[in-house]
Formats: sequence, structure tokens, C-alpha cells
Amino acid sequence: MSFTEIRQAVIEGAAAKVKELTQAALDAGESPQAILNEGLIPAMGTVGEKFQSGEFYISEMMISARAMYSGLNLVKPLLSQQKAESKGKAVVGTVQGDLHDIGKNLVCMMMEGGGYEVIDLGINITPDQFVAAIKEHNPDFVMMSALLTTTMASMEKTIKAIEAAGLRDQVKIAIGGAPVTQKYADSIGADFFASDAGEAVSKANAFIN
Amino acid sequence: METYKVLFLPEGIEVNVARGDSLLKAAALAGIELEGPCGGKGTCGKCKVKLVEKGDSRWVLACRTLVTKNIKVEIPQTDIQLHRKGELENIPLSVKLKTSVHKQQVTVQPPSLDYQVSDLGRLQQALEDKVIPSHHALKSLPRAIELGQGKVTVVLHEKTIIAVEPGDTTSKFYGIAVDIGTTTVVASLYHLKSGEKLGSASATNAQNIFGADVISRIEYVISQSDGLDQLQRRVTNVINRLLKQLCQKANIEPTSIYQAVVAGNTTMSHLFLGVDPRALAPSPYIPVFTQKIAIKAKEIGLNIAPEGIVSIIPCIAGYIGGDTTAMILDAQLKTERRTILAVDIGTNGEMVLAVNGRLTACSTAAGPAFEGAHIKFGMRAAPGAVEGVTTTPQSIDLKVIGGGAPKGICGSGLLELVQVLLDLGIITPSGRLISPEEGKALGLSPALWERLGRNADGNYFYLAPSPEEGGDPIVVYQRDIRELQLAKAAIRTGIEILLREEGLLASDLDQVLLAGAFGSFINKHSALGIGMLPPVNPDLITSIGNAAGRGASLALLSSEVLDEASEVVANVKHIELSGRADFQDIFVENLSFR
Repeated sequence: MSFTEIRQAVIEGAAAKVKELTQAALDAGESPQAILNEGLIPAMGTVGEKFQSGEFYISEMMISARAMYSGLNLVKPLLSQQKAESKGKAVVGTVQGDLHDIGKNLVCMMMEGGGYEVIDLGINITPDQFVAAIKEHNPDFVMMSALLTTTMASMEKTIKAIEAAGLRDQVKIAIGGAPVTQKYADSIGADFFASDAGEAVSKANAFIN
Repeated sequence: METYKVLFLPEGIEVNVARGDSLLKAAALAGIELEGPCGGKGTCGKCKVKLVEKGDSRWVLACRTLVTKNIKVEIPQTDIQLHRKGELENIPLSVKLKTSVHKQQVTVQPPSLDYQVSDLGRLQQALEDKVIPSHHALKSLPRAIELGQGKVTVVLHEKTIIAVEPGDTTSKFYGIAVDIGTTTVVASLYHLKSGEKLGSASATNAQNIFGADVISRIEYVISQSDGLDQLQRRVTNVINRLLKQLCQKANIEPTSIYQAVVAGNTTMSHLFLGVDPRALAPSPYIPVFTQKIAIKAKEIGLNIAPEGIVSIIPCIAGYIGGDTTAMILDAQLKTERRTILAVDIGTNGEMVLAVNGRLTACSTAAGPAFEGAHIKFGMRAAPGAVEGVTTTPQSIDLKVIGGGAPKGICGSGLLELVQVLLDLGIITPSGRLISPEEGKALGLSPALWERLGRNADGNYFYLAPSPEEGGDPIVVYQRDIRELQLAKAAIRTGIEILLREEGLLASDLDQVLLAGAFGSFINKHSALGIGMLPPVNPDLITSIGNAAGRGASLALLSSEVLDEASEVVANVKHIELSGRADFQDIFVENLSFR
């Protein structure tokens, strides 16, 4: 079965339709893995591209993400029953002193839509909390977001804390947010910088493969 | 240390600059106002100047260009700013004159062997009050009595004599009200004996070379060991320049100004006093002070009477400052029985909802789109800025400040342009700029759809050719529209949350007051048309001009109003938007224009 209709419905943000089509696909015997890999994930990839080209903005990303979730929520429990492996695991949070979360939420949504298991730590996360999360969840990626130049400094502090805990080699560290640049990422020793949620997924994919 | 000469044209000002310093810093030394909304990071492109070398010239970014030899620099004339806030209509104030500082003339009795009372004792007897002198007043006392032959004028603040002058100088009694905006500073001079306004002057807040917004300035304090000092001096110098101008025009001595009342947002209030504002940046956004503060002019280098009292209007929260308090005082929101929304869309966006005298307030980071920053061809309101757009049967017409060829577009122009393009279908309700093919398919005239295009920076809508030969034409990019979406969503969301808190709808509003320079110059139909304001009858929307400046003036003329300011602050409910679970959903929904 081609999952074109599911993909289209996700891109259009038609949540009810995505749910209906996903259920129909499952009922027809399609594997949850196929629905995810050929339907939901490519759809969110397209959404990411449309954001980069300027056709989609935050609202469209969120609406598509919600539509994606209405399908993902049907597929997810079946995948864990089958003990299917996710592509990778990411721990995501906004750094200490910073309460901005829209960007971080988009990253979580796009990463889930990209086939990753995501643990959303929330906002105002201290370096110690990031370290604790790494110990608890054993992620492949640690993704940090900041919207202010003044809170960005917490990113460097967090990386140092991760190093001090002897955990630096276990994870790939990604940073993002309006004032963040590649230059800054290089200067603090982050593994990569993403300029938007879509790029976070594509760069994460590059590391996994 | 090697220094070089930098000559700025057309002003013809030359400065000696250390090797390796930027042209932006050199311009600041020369007293030339250059824009630096990105705080010198080289990302906004607004500090462009022309380097003139051997008959050849090239454009460079002043913040990125370092001085390594003697050079000549030409400043583009666009940078001569219109101070729109300073032009706002002068609505006369009506308040009962009751100043916090007083001048009183008395006759001090001569001493004798039967009356061996000290100068101060005899003065206290003449005043019939055991007032205490400041050090300065004490030192001037004997000479004042001698020169005045017993007749002296004292300047009193609460129970302190802040100055003593010979003779009768009761009519040499002036005060200033200052509105320290993040972008523009306005000072007004008053004769405190009569309450008469003697003049008003405005200038760009020279802290702006370190950034257009409060966060960049706070960042400067954090990153430079003398950053706080520099910022404090920059704003005080601007105020002193305005003072000089006002005093010269009114033909008075600056030392006969005994009181200053200052209204500014919380960060501006901190920087003016040289108090470290860095805890304002990260959550939980804690100011060092919000209360009313009174200090002596000499403590911060303000050029009025050294013992003159400088009062800072109390702030409400980290991001709702004395300027908002002053707006509340001016609009008399506490005594209003109706339901009124007052919005100050300045460099930040503060709003107050008054429901039968009960006040709630919040602030949103509206962002710099309204000031032209982050917009590729954005500029502040100055000659050459597109400030309005109207439709013609086949196309659009651009209204340009100063009437000449367009050089860029300012906030009010961008708002109107987007509203017009939305109405034409050239921008979709979600904010997407359509392609030329879609435009043609819509049945638009070629004069319109041929303006749509795409280049390396994305989709654009063409406005006008470049004012310079071979320069880039003036266009509005998809990205610029997105910036405007962020700004208008922030404002609209703040308003909706305030209404929600009171259990009200937009239809319950009796009036919407727009304060600040931007509020006075925007087309309210455009503000409604793009969804920045909730749907209300346009007739209910009024611009109230520089309410912060007027509030400061009222507090200068009446100590009761100044006291009321503290009352107001204690009774305003501050809604911290960043803590709210509903903010994100409402914000994302409000990103769409319609």
C-alpha cells in the first residue's frame, strides 16, 4: 500500500483524517513500522523542508505535528508491543533561566516524527538536571535550546557538567535557538547546531547512519 | 598605543581612535548616532557607512570594520532620525500644582549679643520649622545670608533644605520630566512656580549602539567589565544634552532645576541609576528595585542643581516599568469606571487592562519588527521610510516620509503593507507570500503579480528600486512577514490573556488606548486587519501619544500623583506570561493573520 494519503493528510494538518487512515491501514494488516517509516516520518520530513523554504511557518509545523501524533498514538503502543527499536533516543530541554519552549517543542515533535524516542525535560533545566537525565535515560542525543543571549551561557556550563560527570563520549550534543550559531556551537564543543527543528532531525539522522 | 584619525562626513568631525577599535565605537566617540540594533554583532546590517579612499568608496558595516589607518567615513543621511515620540501632540496637562520640592523666601533676623543664635538656628526660626540642611546648603548658608542681607530663599524637599540662595529667587524654580525610552529619550522643562511647560526636546537613546532591545544592553553589562558604567553615562549624557538645549531656549540656568522625575522601563530605570540589571534577563526576572527611588542629581551626573532631587517612577515588574506606571497615571485608569485596555507598543509591548479601576498588566516581547530591525529593508521612521501603503486600481502606492524615493520601510509602513497584501490575497491568512503564478491565477493585475519573485533570500514582494546605483531593490521578504507575525502574535496574545484573566471578551472593551510613538503613527485599521488588536470597533481605538512622558510630567507637578504612583504599583496584578500553560497555544494560533 502506498501511504501517500497518510502523508498528504499529515502535511495538510488534517488530524482526524490521519487517525482514520492510520486505523484503516492497521485494520488492513499494514505493519505499524511501515506506517511510521513510509507514512508519518517522510511526511514530517516534507514538513521540515517546507518550513525551510518559507512555505510553512510555526503554526503549520505544529498543526502538521498534531496530525502526525494522531497517527503516531495509534502506532506507538503496537511498536512497543513488538519491541521495535526506535531510531535513537533524545533528551531535549530549554536551558537554565530560560522559559521559552515553542522551539524546543517543535524539536520534540519533529524528532518523534522522525522516528526517535524523545524525553522532553521541559524548560529551565539546570546542568545537573541534564546530567541526571543522561544517567537515567541513556540517550544518543542531548538537545539544548535557548532563546536569549543571556541564557545561552548555560549551554557551555551544561557541556562542562556532562564532561565532569564522565558522560561526554556517550552522547551527541546538539544546540539551537534564535541567538545560537555554528560558531558558538564550535566554541563550546557541541557536536552540532541546528537552525530549526527540521534540521535537528536531518543532522541527527546523519549521526545515526 | 597607536591611534589613527577618523574623519566623519558630512559633519566634519574628526576623532582619534585606538588601533583595532571599530568604526561603530569611533562614531560613538564622535557623537554620531548610528543604529546598532543587533548590538554590534554584524547581523542586522543597519550600521552601514561609506569608507572613502582615494576617490573610491565602498560600503562597510561600522561594527565589523576596525580602524587600522587614517580614514574618512561618510555617514548615510538616513541616519538622521525623526524623533516621532518627541513630535507627539501636546495635550495640556490638568493637575493641581503641588510640587515635592518647594522654594520659600524668608528673612533671617540679624544676630546680636542678646540673640546669639547660629545662622542655622535663626533660619529655622524664620522658617518656623526645624528643617535640617544638606551639606551643600550648610556650606552656602553664611554667604547667602550675607549677600541677601538676611533675605534668603531656601529650597526644601521634605524636611531637608537642599539649597540656600541669597535674596528672593522663588521664581527661579524649574523641574524636568524625563521619559527614558529604550529607543528615544524625551525631556520636558517646567516652571515649577507656575506649572507652565517651557519646552520639550528629544534624542535617540545613545545606548542603542549596544543593541536595540533591553536584553542586548543587559548582555553588554554582563560581557564588559565597565559595561554598566558606559551605559549609565551614555543615557545621562543624552539627557544632559537635552537639558542644555532646553535651558538655552528658555534662557535659564540648569542649576535652577531642582527636581527631575524620570519614567523608564525597568531596565532603563536600572541603567540610568547605574544599578546592575543582569538578574532581569533569566527567569525569574528579578529587578534590584521596583519601588520609587529618590537620589541627588550629583550622584548620577545629571546636570541640574547638584542637590536636586531625581525621582524614579516606581516599576511594576521586571518587564513592566515606570513608563507603564506613568501611562496608568496619565490615563487615570484607577479612577475609570469603564473597561479600558491601554497598550504601549514601544520597543517592548506592555499592556494594562482596567476594569472598573481594577488593573491587570502584562508585557510581551513584541520584538523589533515594529522598529524596523530584523526586517531586511526595515528602518526607523526617517526620511525615505515607506510609512504607508494604499491601493490603486491596478497596483499600490507607497507613502514615503519626506516624499522622496524610498530607502526602506518602517514599522507602520510594514503593518499597512501587510494588511493591504492580505486584502489582495497576495499574503495568505497563514502568512505565506504567494508565487507570481498563483498571483496571475488569482486574476491580479500584472502591476501586482509581477512584483512577486524569489531570490537567494527567499520569496519577496517588490516595493521600489534601490535609491543607489547598482544597489539592491527594496523588497519585503517572506522572512520579514514572519517577523511581523511573531510581533503581532505576541501583542495579541498578551491582550487575550489579560481579557481571559478578567473573564472578558474583546466586545466588552469600552476603549482601547494606544500609547507611545508607534501607537500614534500606526493605522488602526491595519492593526485590526492583521489581527494585532482583537476585533473592536475602530472608533473605540484612540492614540494617547506619549503617555509615559505626560505621566512623568504629572508626577513632577504634583507630589500627590507621585505618591499615587506607588499606590498604583502596589495594586496592579502582574500576569507573568512565561509561567502560563495556555500561552503557547494562544500564541501559535495568533501567528496567523486571519
